[in-house]
Amino acid sequence: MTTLPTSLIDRADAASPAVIQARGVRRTYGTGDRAVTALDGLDLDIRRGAFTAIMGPSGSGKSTLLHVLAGLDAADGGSVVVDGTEITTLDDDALTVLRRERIGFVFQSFNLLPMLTAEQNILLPLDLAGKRVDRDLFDSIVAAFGLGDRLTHLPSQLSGGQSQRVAIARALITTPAVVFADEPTGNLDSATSAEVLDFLRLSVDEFDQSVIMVTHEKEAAARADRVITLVDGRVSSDHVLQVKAIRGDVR
Amino acid sequence: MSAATVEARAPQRPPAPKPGRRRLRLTPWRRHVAAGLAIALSTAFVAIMVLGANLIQLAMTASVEERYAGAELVITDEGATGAGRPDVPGLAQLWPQVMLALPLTSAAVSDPVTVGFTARPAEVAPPALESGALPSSPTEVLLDASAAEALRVGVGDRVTVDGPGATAATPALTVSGIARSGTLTALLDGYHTGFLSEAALPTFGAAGSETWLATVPAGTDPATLVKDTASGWRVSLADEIRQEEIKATLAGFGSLALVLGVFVVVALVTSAVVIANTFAVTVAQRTRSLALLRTVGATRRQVRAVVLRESVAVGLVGSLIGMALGHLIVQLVLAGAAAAGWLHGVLPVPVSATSVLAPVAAGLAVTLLAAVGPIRAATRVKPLQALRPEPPQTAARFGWRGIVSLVLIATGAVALGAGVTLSLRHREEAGILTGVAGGVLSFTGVLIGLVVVTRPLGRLTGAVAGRLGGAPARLAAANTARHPRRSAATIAALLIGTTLMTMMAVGARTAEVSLTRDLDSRRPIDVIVSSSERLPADAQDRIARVAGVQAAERVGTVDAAVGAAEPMTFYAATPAQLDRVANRTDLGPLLADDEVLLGQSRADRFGLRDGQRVTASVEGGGSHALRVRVTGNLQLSLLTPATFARLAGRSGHDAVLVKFAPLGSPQRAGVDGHEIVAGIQKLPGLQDASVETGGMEREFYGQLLGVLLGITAGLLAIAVIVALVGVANTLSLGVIERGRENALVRALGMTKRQVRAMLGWEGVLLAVVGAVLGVLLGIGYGVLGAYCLLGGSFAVVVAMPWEQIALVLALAVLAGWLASVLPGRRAAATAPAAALARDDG
Repeated sequence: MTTLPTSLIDRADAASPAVIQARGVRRTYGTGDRAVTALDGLDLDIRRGAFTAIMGPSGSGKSTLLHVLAGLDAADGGSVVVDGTEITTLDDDALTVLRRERIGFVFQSFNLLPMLTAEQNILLPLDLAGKRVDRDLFDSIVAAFGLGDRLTHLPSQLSGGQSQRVAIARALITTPAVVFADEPTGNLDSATSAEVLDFLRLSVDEFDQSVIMVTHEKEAAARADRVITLVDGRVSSDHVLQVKAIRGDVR
Repeated sequence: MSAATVEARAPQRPPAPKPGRRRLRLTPWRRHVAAGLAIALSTAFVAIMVLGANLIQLAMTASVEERYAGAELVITDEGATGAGRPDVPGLAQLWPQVMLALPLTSAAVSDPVTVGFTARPAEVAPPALESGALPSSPTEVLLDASAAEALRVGVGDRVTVDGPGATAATPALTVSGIARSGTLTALLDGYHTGFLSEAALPTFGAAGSETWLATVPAGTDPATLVKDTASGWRVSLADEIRQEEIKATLAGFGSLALVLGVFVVVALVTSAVVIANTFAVTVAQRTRSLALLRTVGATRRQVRAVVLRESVAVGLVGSLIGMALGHLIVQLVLAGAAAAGWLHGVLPVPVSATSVLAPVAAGLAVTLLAAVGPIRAATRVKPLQALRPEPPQTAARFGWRGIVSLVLIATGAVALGAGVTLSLRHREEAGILTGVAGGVLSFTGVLIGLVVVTRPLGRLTGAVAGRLGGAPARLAAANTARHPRRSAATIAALLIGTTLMTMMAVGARTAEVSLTRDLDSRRPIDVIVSSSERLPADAQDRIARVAGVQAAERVGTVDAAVGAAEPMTFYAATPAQLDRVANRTDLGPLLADDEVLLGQSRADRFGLRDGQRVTASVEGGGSHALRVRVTGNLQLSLLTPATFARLAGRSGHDAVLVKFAPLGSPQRAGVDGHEIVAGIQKLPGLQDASVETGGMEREFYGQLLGVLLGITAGLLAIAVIVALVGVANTLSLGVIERGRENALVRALGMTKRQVRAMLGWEGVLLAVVGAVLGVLLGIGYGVLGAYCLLGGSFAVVVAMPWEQIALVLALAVLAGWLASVLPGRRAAATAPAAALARDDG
């Protein structure tokens, strides 16, 4: 991986704010001699409007990091600020609302509810919130993802790639602050993987999303703007691969 | 060497595992709790029913025993000679079979207590004495403990005979002893018995009897004395007569036993449906394990054995628990009844071989029957399914299932129609049988075809629910629609209970209204007070003032011959009087001079036809020509006062027609029909009057049907509870299955409350479909059933108990929600992070 000059990175960082800020995050499982420290006082900033990949060997804590940043699991120590809100102090209902309105999820598999159509799956978070659908947004997402003729199909009638596309569309429909993707290409062949990564890229470039992708595949990480590597529950490296054009400052 | 030393010396080696004998457990026991509970409830029910039958048998036998106690021969008067004692030689003891009911008062108790006396000689089967001795003179009596308690007397105290028949000549009686109360006394409140000597009988006007009981000298075979004497007495063996009477009374209860048996079958069938569903679901969830077993080398037979073993274990444990529970409940009820004073003394629960074996056998049978389908499905699991994911359940297509269902429903409907027609044509037995067959057939058809309509029905109710409950309701509807077979089975269990409950409620209300209407038109007067002597002048006013009486009218009455075997009793009244005391309003206008108004069956009884001219002649008086006018089924013969005067002249006497105040009105508060009649009979000059009571029959019907309905509702409640266990089970199994999905929706933003609401809606949707269908079917069956049962004898008036139907629906919704509470909590507790669980870890 080639990296960009530091000066460019610093100016890019200054221009775009952090959508997630983690400071001293600690997460331990088990007690006594059986205790496993998954996250060990981790510090992290995720830039808004960027495609960030998080990599690391198994046991590095990247899944745990995703859980904690997304409000799916509570940290044992430290602070996590998502879109300006400190989430370590929120109760379950508040966390649930946060996930519903400001976070999008794409999982490796089992993304969709099997008894709902693609359209119903896409609109599910809005349904849960009781919010009205922005039909223009829906149409543009569907068009961008090429799902127009698949809307009435059940997940069992969709291919793996199509399911992932529906999942990404669902993640975008609430215009969240950040989209978490957990090994989104893990179960797919290389052609479909490339396609899914294209759509994740699309989300960042055209829909202005911030996407955090946990992956162990180098090819997937190469599509990101920035790669953060975890080892033993801490950030071991942080490379910026490319920077989006921001107000003409950087070419 | 001691045993301990031997053991210590033996090498410590674990026993070698025997091939094929390993205890494989397919499902954690917790999953079988619901099935076990269903079985326990049903078998407890079976046990309770058997024990109830045992109690009734006990009472019946005790009653017959009391009447024939000590007798070896029964001598009946076949020749209607009316002559005193039978002249049968070779007897040891001879006594008349009388049950003389005497109202007694004592120094401490002035309200008469009725005691039934028998006149068995002291030597024959003497009753067990608690104190004192048997009566030795005509003025001594033996009372049982309950009578002595009620009269607050002991040995040596005096009791006096009070009430009709008591004159100055009636002596006071001395209590010679107190006997232990018999079984019947324990079972029936207010049933007291006593003994007096045969010599005392003439004092009470009860010397003669048509039936005598006798014993034979020791060593003589009673059978040798069985004959018909020339003087018209028939000698029979007492044992034979006892058996016949027990059989006869039990035969009367045979139909009751059949009806109760139906409820048992209902509960068992519902259990079968719930258990079958439970097993089916757990097998489905264990498909991967079963497939792995087959892949690793288990044969089909071994797989079947595993599932069968689990089923038998569940059935056996559940049945034993249920049987014990049933016995415990009955014993507690008996103890409670004794404590409440309804019974005298705590009866031990009448355990019998049947009460122990029948529930267990029934429970096992039901469990095995229910397990047949799931076992077959388990053996059909292919090894490859261990590797392939579970295919989505296809929608139940119409196919053969739909055809069979439609055929059954159509045949059943036709049979029901035939049953109604047969009953209307007065062939009630055939009609009832055909109707019941039709009901069973059509309902089976509905149950079979339920799975086909479950999805569209679910979608319909889901759409409605979605409007009301938002996203949780919509997801719940979608969940319910996913497994149509499972949802259908759950709904089917509930359907059985709700259909039957509605059917009973509608049937009972229709029956009550029809019977009351019929009664009103047949016997429109609640009470008729008449006497061979003159009624006191103020009788009408006094009667009108008795608590609970709304109106009383004094009318003329006379018995006259109309050319039939028996004389006909006529009553005279004006239309105004009838309006005040009759329960039907159309009689007044029908009265006309020189006509007698009566009903068809009464006319038939006296050989009269509508329009016929008949001459009525009064004994010792005049005669008068009357024209017969038949209206409906009126059981009275009515004349206008003018006609009456011409017919009866001076031979007529008075009667008072009485109308009860309506039940529920303030006048009737705390006064039942019996008390009104007793109040009338207490009035001076009326003690000897005969009191005919049609009104109590009307109220009796209402009360009887009310009690019957309450009992059936209670009995059916078992089935409904079992069905609800099924609903809770289906929901909780679904939660277990949908673990990842629940985690997903929690991750996507469903709050815990929304998850609980979703489960609540699932329960409610299942319950509502079951209840609405049940109500519709129940109304149909209830109306048709009423026609089958009553159509031959009464005009059926269809009446809908809307408030009870609404209650069934409301309770169903509540129950469906209740069934979801525990599964809902479990679902809400799912950690959202579980959605990120990866297959590769």
